[in-house]
This record gives sequence, C-alpha cells and structure tokens, in this order.
Amino acid sequence: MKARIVTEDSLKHLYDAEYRRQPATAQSLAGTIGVNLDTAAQVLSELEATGLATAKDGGYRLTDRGREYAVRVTRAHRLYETYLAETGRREEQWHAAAEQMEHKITGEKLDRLSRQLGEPRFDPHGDPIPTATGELPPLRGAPLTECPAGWAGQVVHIEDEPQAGYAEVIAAGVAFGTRLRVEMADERSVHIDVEGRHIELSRLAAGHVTVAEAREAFDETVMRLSTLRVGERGSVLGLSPACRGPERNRLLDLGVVPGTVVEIDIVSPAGNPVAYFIRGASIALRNEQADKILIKKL
Amino acid sequence: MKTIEPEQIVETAERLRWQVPHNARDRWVELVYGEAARIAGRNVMQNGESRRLPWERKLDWILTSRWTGIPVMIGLFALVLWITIIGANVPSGLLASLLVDKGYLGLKELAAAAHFPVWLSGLLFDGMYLTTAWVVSVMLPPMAIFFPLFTILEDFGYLPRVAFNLDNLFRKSGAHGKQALTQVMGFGCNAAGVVATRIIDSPRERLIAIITNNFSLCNGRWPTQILIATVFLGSLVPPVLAGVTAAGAVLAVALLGMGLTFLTAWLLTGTVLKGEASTFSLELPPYRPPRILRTLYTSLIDRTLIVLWRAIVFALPAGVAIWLVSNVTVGGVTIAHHLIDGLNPVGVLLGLNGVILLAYIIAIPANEIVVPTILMLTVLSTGMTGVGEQGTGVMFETDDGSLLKLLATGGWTTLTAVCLMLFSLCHNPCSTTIYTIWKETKSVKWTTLATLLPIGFGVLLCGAVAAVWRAVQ
Amino acid sequence: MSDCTSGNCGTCQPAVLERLGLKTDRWDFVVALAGNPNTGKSTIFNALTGLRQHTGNWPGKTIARAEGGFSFREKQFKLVDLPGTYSLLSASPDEEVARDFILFGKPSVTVVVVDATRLERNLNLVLQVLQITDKVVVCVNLMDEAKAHGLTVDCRGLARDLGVPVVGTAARQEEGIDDLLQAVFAVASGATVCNPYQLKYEVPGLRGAIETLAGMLRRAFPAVKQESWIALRLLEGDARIVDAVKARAL
Repeated sequence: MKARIVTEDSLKHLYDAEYRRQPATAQSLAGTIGVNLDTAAQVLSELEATGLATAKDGGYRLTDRGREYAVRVTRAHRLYETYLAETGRREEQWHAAAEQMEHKITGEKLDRLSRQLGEPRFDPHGDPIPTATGELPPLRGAPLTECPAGWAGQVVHIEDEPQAGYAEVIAAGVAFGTRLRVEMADERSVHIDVEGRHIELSRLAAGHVTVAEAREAFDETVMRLSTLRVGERGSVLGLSPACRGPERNRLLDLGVVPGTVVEIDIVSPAGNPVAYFIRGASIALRNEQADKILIKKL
Repeated sequence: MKTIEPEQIVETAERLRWQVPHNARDRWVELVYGEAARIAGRNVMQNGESRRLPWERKLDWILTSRWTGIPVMIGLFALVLWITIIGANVPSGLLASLLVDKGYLGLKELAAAAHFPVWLSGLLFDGMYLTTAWVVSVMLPPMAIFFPLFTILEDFGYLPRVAFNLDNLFRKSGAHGKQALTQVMGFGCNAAGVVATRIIDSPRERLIAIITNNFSLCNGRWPTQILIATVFLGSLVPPVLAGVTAAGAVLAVALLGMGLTFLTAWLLTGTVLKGEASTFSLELPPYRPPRILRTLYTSLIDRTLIVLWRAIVFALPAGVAIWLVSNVTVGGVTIAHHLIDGLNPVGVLLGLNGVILLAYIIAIPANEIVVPTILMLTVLSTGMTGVGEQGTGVMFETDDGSLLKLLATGGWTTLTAVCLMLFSLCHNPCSTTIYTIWKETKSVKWTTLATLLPIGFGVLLCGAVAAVWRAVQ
Repeated sequence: MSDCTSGNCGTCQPAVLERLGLKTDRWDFVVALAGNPNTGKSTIFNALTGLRQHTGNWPGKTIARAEGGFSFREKQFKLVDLPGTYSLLSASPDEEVARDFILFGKPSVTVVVVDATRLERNLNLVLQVLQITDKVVVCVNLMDEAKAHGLTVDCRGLARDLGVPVVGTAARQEEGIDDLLQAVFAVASGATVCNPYQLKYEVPGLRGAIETLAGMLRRAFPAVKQESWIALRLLEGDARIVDAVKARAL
C-alpha cells in the first residue's frame, strides 16, 4: 500500500513537470514528495522497470501507460480538492485530505464525483483538472516574484506545497482568480493591492503565486462591502474569487451582481450580521460574506 | 443532412467547456438581472422617495437596535410563555376532570356493566385510555395557545428580526441565526421545532438545528421540572423563598439546555459536520398585519393537531406497556419489579434509581407521562397503600405534600431530584420527535446521533453530579 | 386535445408527471405555481383552491410540495405549489425541484407569482422561467402593498414586454383572483398564445459555444424550443440536463 502511494505520487510529479515543461529528476522528485535522494532515484528506476517512465536527456518522462495512470491520480487529487472547496472546507485542509483520497477513489466513483461537481475545469488552486481522456488547456502565466511595481493582473495558479508559503498566501486572502496589482517589490517582499486591501507577501509566499494578464484593466476604487458605512451607497463590482460554491450561487441569486446598488438597511445589535438593501429587499449578510463582495463607493 | 446523436452534443459541450470563461455564470446572472431591472424600470412608477415607510423604519429600529432590540425580544418571549402557562391552567384542569376523572370512571362502569374481563378493561381503560387522556389534557391546551401566538409573531414579520438579532451568537458556534426560532419552537414541542428547521436553507446548519432541538425543554418536560423543583428544592428553603428557588432552578436547567445547544453545535461543526455545505442568507421581509382568525385556524390545523395526533398514536402503545409491566407477573413478581431491580444499580450510579430509568424507557412515546409513571411504579415497588386507590398500573394525581412523603419512602433524596431534573433535560427525544427527525433527515445516522447524543450528555452530567455530591458528603 | 386523461395531450406529459408524484386522472390541466419566497404564493394557492395551507411571512415556508385542485368553466385544474426560489439555476434542492417540475413535467400553465413592491428582483425569476416554458401567466401580487408604498405597476406594459399575460392581484383581499383564473384558463386552453420574451445569450466568450450547441440541439430535437438555455446548462455541466439530452427526454 505504502509503495503504491509513493509510485502514484511520483507519477503525479512527472505529469506536472511535463505540463510545466520542466525536467523531472530524482532531485525534483525528492523535493516534491518528501523523500531522500536515494529513495527518489530508486523509485524512478522502478518506474522505468515497470514501463511507466523512461529516462531521457538527464530527466525522466512518462510513457503512454504511465501518463494514463498519472492522469487518473492527478484527476482524483484535483477533483477531490474541488469537492472540499465547494463544500466549504478551509483551504488548509484541502491538500492533505486530497493526498489521501487520490489513492482511494478510482474509475466510476471519480466520474460520479466529477458529475456531481458539474464537471469542473479547474481545481481551487487554478490547476486544470484533466478530463477522463486526459485533455488539458495550455499553461499560462508567470511567477508573481517576476512582476515589476505597477503591474496588474490576476492569479492563475497557487502552488500548495510546501505548506509554509502557501499558508501565508491563504491568510492574505489571495485565491485563484483574484485580481491584484503590484505596488512595490524588493528583495524581501512583494507589496500588492488586493481588492482594496494592502498586503505584504514574503518572496517565499509570492513564489507560490502565478499570475497572468487580466482581460479587463485593474480598478483602483474597488473596496469591500464590509467597509461600507451607514448612509453610504455602493455599486457592486463583483464577487471575490475566494467566494465559492453554494455561497457564491446564493449571493448571485439574491441579486449581488455587477451594477447592483447597495446600502445598509439595518445593523444588528452585535454589528454582525448587517442587513443591506439589495434590489428592493432587505438581505442580512454576515461580515465574512460582505468581505467577499467587491464594490465601488458611489 | 446527417442527423446528430445526443452523445455527440454532450461530447461537443465537454470540449467547448474549456473555452468558457471562469466567470460565465456571474455574467449570465448579471445579464438576467440587468434585463429584469430594465423591464421593471419601464413599468413601475414610484411616487415619493423612500421605499420603506417611516413607521416601518421606526419599528425596525426598536426591534433591532443595540439598546432596545434584545430587551424587547426577551419581554415578548416572556409574555408568550406567561400567557401560555397561565392560559393553559384552566383548560388543562377542565380536560383532566372531564377525560381523566369523569370519562375514565364512566368507561370503567361501562366495562363492569358489560362484564368485560378484568384484564381487558385494565388494558383498554387503565392502560390505553388513561395514558392517552393524560397526554391530551396536559399537552393540548399549552400547544393550542403557544403555537398561534408564535404564528402571529411569525406572520407579522417579527421572527426574522429575532434571527437577525441573535445570529452573532449562533454564528460563533457554527449555527444559523434562524435556529433561534426553531429552539423557541422546541419549547412548545420538539417535534414541531424539528419540522420548523425547514426554514434553514443551509444543510449543515439545518442538521445542527435538528440535532440540538431536544435541548429546548418541551412542554411535556416543563411540568416535570416545575413539579420536582417545587416539591424537593422548594422544601429546602424557608417557605417565603420556596417559589423563587423552584423558579430559579427550572430557569437554570433551561439555560443549561441553551448552553448545551451551543456546545453541541460547536462540537458538531468541528467534527462530524465538517464537510457539510454551509451558506447564510436571511431576508428581512416587510411587516404585514397578521390576520388573527386565519392564523388561529391554520396554526391549529397544521401545528397543534398534527403534533397532538402523533403524540396520541405513540401514547396508546405506551399505555399498553405500562399496564402490562405492572400487571403481568413472572415467578410471582410483576415484570416491573424485575426491571426495576435490574436497572437500579445503573440508576443509583447516575444519582437516580431503577424506577426513574424504567419510567423513562416506558415513557419514550411522550414525556408527559414520565412523572405519573414514576409515581405509579414507586407505589408498586414500595408496596404502599393508601395512595392511588384506582389500583396497580393506573395513573393518578396527588398533592405536593403527600408526593414528597411518597417519594421519600421510595428512597428519594435531593440528589435524586437534581439528577432527575438534569436527566429530564438530557435524555433521548420522545418517539414522536425521533420519528420526525427521521422523516426530515431520511438518515439513520443523523437520527441515531440525535437520539443518543443527549443521553450521552445526561449520563455524563448525572454521573458527575452524583459522584461529586457523594464525595462531598 | 387538451385533455390529459386521454394520455395524448400536447400540453403536459402524463408519464413524467406520474413519476414526479402526481396522479394524472381526474383533471384536464396541471398548473404550477412558482415565485420568489415571501411573495404571497401560498395565499394565491389558498385563494384558488380554498385549501388552508399555512402561509407564513417568512421566506422558504413551502418546502414540501403542496397540491390542490379547483374547477373553472367545467374543467378540472390540478394546482401544484412549487418551493419558493430566487432563481432556477439549481443552486439548492428547492430550485432543482421547481426547475425539474417546469422543465420535465411540462405543466399546462406555470403561474409565476411576483411581489409588486420588489418587481425588479422578482422579474429575474420570471425571465428564467420564460427561458424554459412558454405557457406562463405572471401574477403581480401584493398590489395593495405597492399602492401603500406609492408604487404603480403597469401590468399591460409588463405583458407587452414579457410577451405573456400579466394579472394584478391582492390575494389577501381576494382581489384579482377571477382575472387570474381567466388568464390561466385562456393559456391552458390555447385561447391565448404566449410569445415569451427571449433573452439574448450575450455573455462574452460564451456566445460562440452556445450557438454551436444550440444548432446541434435544433437538429437533434426539432420540437425543443429552449435550445439556447439547454446549451448554457450543458456548458455549465448540469448533470440532470446532460442526462436528459443523452436519454432524449427533452
């Protein structure tokens, strides 16, 4: 059982390296799955012996059979992460749980999960989920650390390993799809503007974030609904990408869409929740929800 | 032209999905709302400025502001409870004298005249009829008053404001503000409270509300609390303070129930319910003048009578069980004796006794019959004479003074009384509620959890209290 | 022609309705009642059927599907009260129940109850219903409340814009119920032919994909009228719709 997990994790690594057009070596494998160099080398030679991978140009590549296997495990991992995100689990829990489940769910169960989730195309980190036949879209974007001050765009991928840097990204409220602008970048950290909030990310954390040009220009005036005060009026710009699943659908259904004018109707005794006047009705939202609604003050 | 197979369409859709932008759904909803706004704008004319009338704004302020919101809420809730308790007294007494005194005696005479065998008349009238009559007379009047009052507040639009006021408290334990209402509903009847959780549209919070509803003392358990507190705890202090002490004890138990609700919600959110989906939204509807007569009628039809009907259905077999255990003998002694002896060691460990445990087992169908069953079994097990002339396996009423004497003879102490009050709060829901939980969740897992969790709390609480009590003494 | 008991009516699908839990004998038309929560939908239901379903001033009251019957001009109508929803995008079980009933049950008429004081919010649902069925009557309820708030709703203008009959009611005062019955009867019997307003599916990046799929759907299912909406659902990966297409159950 243990051996199979190591094999599957290794195949996943080879598959990811292939997608990112990076070489897969004993070194890169050891770093990713957390084993020592000797073990990694041994695993790779085993993969070669069983016909799942071949050595080429100083690195390893998947054979067709190996790729098929890798697609299945990668698909399981990313689908299960999506499932956890859609059902409201916290970001920190996704990866570890998916690492276990990817070795357990297979075949029909996997297809059923995918159907249940509405055949998602990307996992919550922005990694594309291969279809059952292994289709993937082309890779895009560059690391946030390479972006100069003044550059604006959106997050297309967040690497969830190792844990330390990832936790910092999550704590900053940066998610797949988040729009951001680089305000300043020095050798220690990257300062960014995220949905009206100013955040300093360490270079380690910024290295986890891949960004690409956004279709629309960055909006300076964006703020969060939670910062609106009594008597002020705001116009909704959209929902933050960190707002997912049923939560997002419910807010959309309630009329929280771009262009909707909102103002505070009543504040509850504890200050949370707050009832907002939205398209003719008074809708109470919790502050955590209002945090994920992006508006422009009118 | 070649025909197209459906599978082809689905495959094409699969392929095209990679091109669909990530925010397509947002854009689609935006488009529909945009059209809706355009059409509405063309066909609605607004005379004047504000959409909310001044009196509505003022009322909203009174009902939800920091200084007045909570006091008004507590005041209204106390008023509803007071009207229920005071108002139910008279009709309850009338029903009891009609069904229990006159009706029961009449039926017994009829049975004697028709030469029924003793066992048949015992089973039918001492068992089934009397138990059901008791449940009806205790349960019907408070429910017929409580539910319409509750419904009037609901129709007026006040209850969503209560949820709004209390959501912060519930949010902190992972629950939904609307649960405030289902818990209050539970004070009337847990089965009705469980049905009422339908207003919570988020699956996780709804499950929490269903599982914890039993921690709201229902009207079948209020009498137990009040009776035991008055008879035992009231007698510990000077007569002047007796009333206050008893009321304080009952209130403490009710508050403990609320505390356990939050604790359980918090525990469940962190453990078994971790993966369940969760959303929050609460619409505060405009105030609408309630139509009182309509409300009385509908709440009588779909809350009171339905709950009452289920209670009766479950009380009938309980009546049979009570009569059988106290009249059928094995080896010269009644089944009740055997069971009491068997349960006694466990009971004592929990600060209770075998009689109480047996009464709780027999009285699963309805909490209302717990006290009468305890009294009856105590008489039976102590072999006392002079109380309850009707005979074995027959429910009866008695006054406070002789009750204390009777229970003291049965070995009761203050510890027994305290533990009984705790156990009455923390034991399995009645069978009506269990059945309702199953109907609402359609899940054996959640029904079992909702049934066993309170017993777990009860055993722990009572066991701990008994152990500490005995150690101190 | 419009008689359900004969089993070959063109308006509703007896087999599907039976699967959805309805007996199909004894009535001529099936009427579905849809609407946002808290619009007085249950009051309309009671006014039409004479039943006493509890109507709370509380969103999301009707979870279980309520049913009742009434007769009008010697025809028997079955009225099905769907759960109150804000939309039909099936974000919740309620929405799925409502949508499936309208889409697959093909009721003779769908009455959408809207709140006159919150027309904009309510029209969102109306427009979505119009995407999946063309036999619709819009009931603008709470006209009395709108008046108290200084709002005037132009029902004739709405009818022109939406392409379906629009009736103003104040169900608590039982006002306008007769007009509603007339309109329902007219649509059910085919005397009124609806020409529902169709949304333009102009979502950036989505249009080409929808056109391609809609074209294929038109060829595969010539009788289906909601091909753009189905195309959109397919692109969203809606499992229920994917199944329906595969099973040719449209």
